Amino acid sequence: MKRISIDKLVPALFLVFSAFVVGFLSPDVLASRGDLRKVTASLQLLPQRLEGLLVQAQDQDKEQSEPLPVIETYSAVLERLKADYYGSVDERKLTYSAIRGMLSALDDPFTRFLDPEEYKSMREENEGNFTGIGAQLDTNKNGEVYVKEPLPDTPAMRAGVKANDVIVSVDDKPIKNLDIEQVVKMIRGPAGTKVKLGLRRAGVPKIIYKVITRQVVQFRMVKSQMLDEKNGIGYIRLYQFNEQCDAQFDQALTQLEKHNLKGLILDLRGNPGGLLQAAVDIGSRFIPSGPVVVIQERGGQKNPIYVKEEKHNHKRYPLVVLVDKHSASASEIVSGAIKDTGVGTLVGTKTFGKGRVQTIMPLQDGSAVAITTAKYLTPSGTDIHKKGIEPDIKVDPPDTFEVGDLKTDVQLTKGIQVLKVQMGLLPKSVLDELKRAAQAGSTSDTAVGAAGRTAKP
Amino acid sequence: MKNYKASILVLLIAAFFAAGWAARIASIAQERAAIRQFGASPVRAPGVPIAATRLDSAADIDLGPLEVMLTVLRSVREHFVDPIKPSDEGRMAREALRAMLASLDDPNTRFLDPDQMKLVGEALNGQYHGIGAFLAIKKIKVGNIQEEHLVVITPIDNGPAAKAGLRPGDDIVAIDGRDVLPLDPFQRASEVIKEERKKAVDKDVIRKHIESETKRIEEGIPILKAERTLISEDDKEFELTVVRKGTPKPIKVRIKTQAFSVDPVSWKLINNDRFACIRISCFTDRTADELEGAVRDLKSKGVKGVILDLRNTAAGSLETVLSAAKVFIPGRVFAVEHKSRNRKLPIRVEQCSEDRVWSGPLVVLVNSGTARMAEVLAAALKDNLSTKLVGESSYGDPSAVTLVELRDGSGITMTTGRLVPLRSPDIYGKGLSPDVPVASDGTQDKQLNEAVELLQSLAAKTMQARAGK
Repeated sequence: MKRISIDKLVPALFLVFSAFVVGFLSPDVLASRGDLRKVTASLQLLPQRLEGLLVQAQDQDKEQSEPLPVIETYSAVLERLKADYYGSVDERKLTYSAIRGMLSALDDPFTRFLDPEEYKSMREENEGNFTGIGAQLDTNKNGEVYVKEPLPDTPAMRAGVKANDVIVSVDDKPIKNLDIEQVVKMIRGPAGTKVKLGLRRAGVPKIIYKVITRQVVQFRMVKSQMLDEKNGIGYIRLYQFNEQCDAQFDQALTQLEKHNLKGLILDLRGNPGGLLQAAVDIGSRFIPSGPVVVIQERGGQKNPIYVKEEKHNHKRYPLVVLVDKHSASASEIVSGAIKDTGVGTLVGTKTFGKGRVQTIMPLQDGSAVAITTAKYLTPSGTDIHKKGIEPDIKVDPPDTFEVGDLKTDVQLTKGIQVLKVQMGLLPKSVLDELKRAAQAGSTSDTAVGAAGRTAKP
Repeated sequence: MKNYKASILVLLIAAFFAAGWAARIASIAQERAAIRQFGASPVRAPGVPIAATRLDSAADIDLGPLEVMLTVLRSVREHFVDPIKPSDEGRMAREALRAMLASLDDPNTRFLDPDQMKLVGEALNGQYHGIGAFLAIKKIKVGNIQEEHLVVITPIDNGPAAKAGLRPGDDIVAIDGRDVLPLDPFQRASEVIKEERKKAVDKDVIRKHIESETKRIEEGIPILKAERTLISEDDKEFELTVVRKGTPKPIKVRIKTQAFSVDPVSWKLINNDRFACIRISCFTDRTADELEGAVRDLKSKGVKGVILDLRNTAAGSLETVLSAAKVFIPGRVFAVEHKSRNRKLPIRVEQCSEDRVWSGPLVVLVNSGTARMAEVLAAALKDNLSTKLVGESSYGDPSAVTLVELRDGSGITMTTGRLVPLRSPDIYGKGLSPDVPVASDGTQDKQLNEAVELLQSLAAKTMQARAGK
């Protein structure tokens, strides 16, 4: 076959190409129905459309399958909003919401964003102190905010604020119809500044005004008392695990030992957890040796955290731990270790089931992000996440009761019985009876959800 | 030999001609889709400069928030207990957009998943799903509590909702007995409990409230999910509990959902064929053409007056409304300004040839289901031609909403402006009030009769005017 010469190939290619172009144009020409302007318009658009065809062919396989890049998409949309959105655009608020949304996709409620305000109050909680006047507030049945208890050795106590004083004004602003969180916010402020409270006291006709200087106040994390002086049964309730709690726990234990302590009830009900370090400290006080908890890092590597010997400065006592479904995180580390090592008996209901460790990372603008960075396992290697820890002896709480009240707090009274068995004061048969009672009563489980948000004392 | 080559050449030419043709057909389809992407965009409206809307406010770039976001993402990538997969990142991007747009607290500005985008595209074509109604998430204050409600803007003609008797303004409070929950159900619960604490003395009463609120939240259906279910799920049966104005007790409505499509324009002759009632059911790509066709038909039939029925007509893009408007308003300013953040743009209507235009007597029917672009059309007719509106106040949301498609098939809609009639007062939030108010009696016949009467007097006047000349 002869080689095709270039002078024939070029016109041939030209013809072929023009055929394509004409073919490309003809639908438009037909659609224009003789309108010349439309034809010229489509001629002008021709290069663009042809180019579009090429670009599209390239993009076809890239699109759809590829997920959106997070930052690029976010900033593109943000720019678009800033340019075109009809309404004001608060970039910071939008970004914070975007971060919250982004983290929600991880399906882990503990990985979360804290804006500067939330981060600040979280730090205060962990450090265990805040600036204020040191009065525990509550709402009474008439919806008024009153002083439940002025904490010992605080500005409130020194100024003569008494329990059951109803707060009627803060800095001369009436607080009627405000809720307790708002009142707390008004009373708190930087150390050294003053706040004026208007108080209504039963039996006093006039409103009492007190000007109080705010100071750094410590949260009390520990409450302790002797329940049974004769048998030496002591009770320690731990509200939260923060930087102060181990020292306070140590003090409380020393205090109880002065009253001839022989057996201990540790109340972790309602304790939402806190710092991992505090859990290891408290756990070390009960566990003789070995790990308190095993941290499983990202990638699966296991790092046991061992008992701190220096925390063994007290004798070990027969031990009962009270738990409920609000005992979470650090509470579960402690109760899990106690259960696994058998140094105490768990009484109450199944715990919350949070077996993840978060690391808080501060960010450039005063906000922070809590990221679940590891799992933790109990000393025997169990992951309790979303499962919780089953108590050794299940005791359901009654519908209404007051924590620590020997008349209504059934979990506490049953706990005392269990402790007495351990101390040899009651026969072992009592335990079997309790277990049987638990099985019979387990059908009447009452579930109260998280609908009511309660104010922190 | 030469013939052989020539025939190959001819074949090639033919093949390439065909290929070109096919490519163009494909690209037309693509362009249609692309136009639909920006279907709701006022930027593409005729007479509006396209380039103007983009470039002015990029000056104040604050890197702060972006950096924070980036740090969070990096920390999560590096430290999160389960390694992050690319699909996780795609989900993170979507959820970030969803939350970000939701925080603007504007029902027209939101993130749309790919399946929702598909629904939007189909709706612009006159195809609908589910109960067949336009729904809105509205903030409604009850006592001290402000929360989101799922409200019917309007049922769509011939759809299941219309057949079941759902009306504009109906507040859907429950689906199959499950309460429709506001965006933040816990906020409501804590408000309710706080209110009760103020009143109740008895702890048990409060506890019961807590329990019932908890149960409500556990068993309820989140509002976004409810909305999605109702407008997307076909061939199901729902029992809606509906609160209707003027009806003391909530009503129960059973609706069988199904996919259906609507003819955008239909008409019937009334009053011994002297007049015609043109019904626009929805604004789609076909609406303008069909409207033109209808007007031409009616002119050839010698009809003396037209009633344009815009009751229960919602949504639609500005372009289609403009094309429809030129049937009545030839070559003029639309009498509507597109007000965006930085500027006001008057919108013009293209010239349209004489035989496609209706210049005779015209009356427009409106009601509270006349929403968005439909009310813009009504306002334009009123301001440009002093057309009388008969019926009830319109819905009151003339927002210009832009639809932006993202690469992965999801998208966002956002409010980019507001359409403001030049001579009528701002109708946003209030609605366009009718010149002849006629309350609906449920069957809508009363409003139509009133419109016919008005048209009769208008037609008589034009006759007189012509006779006078």
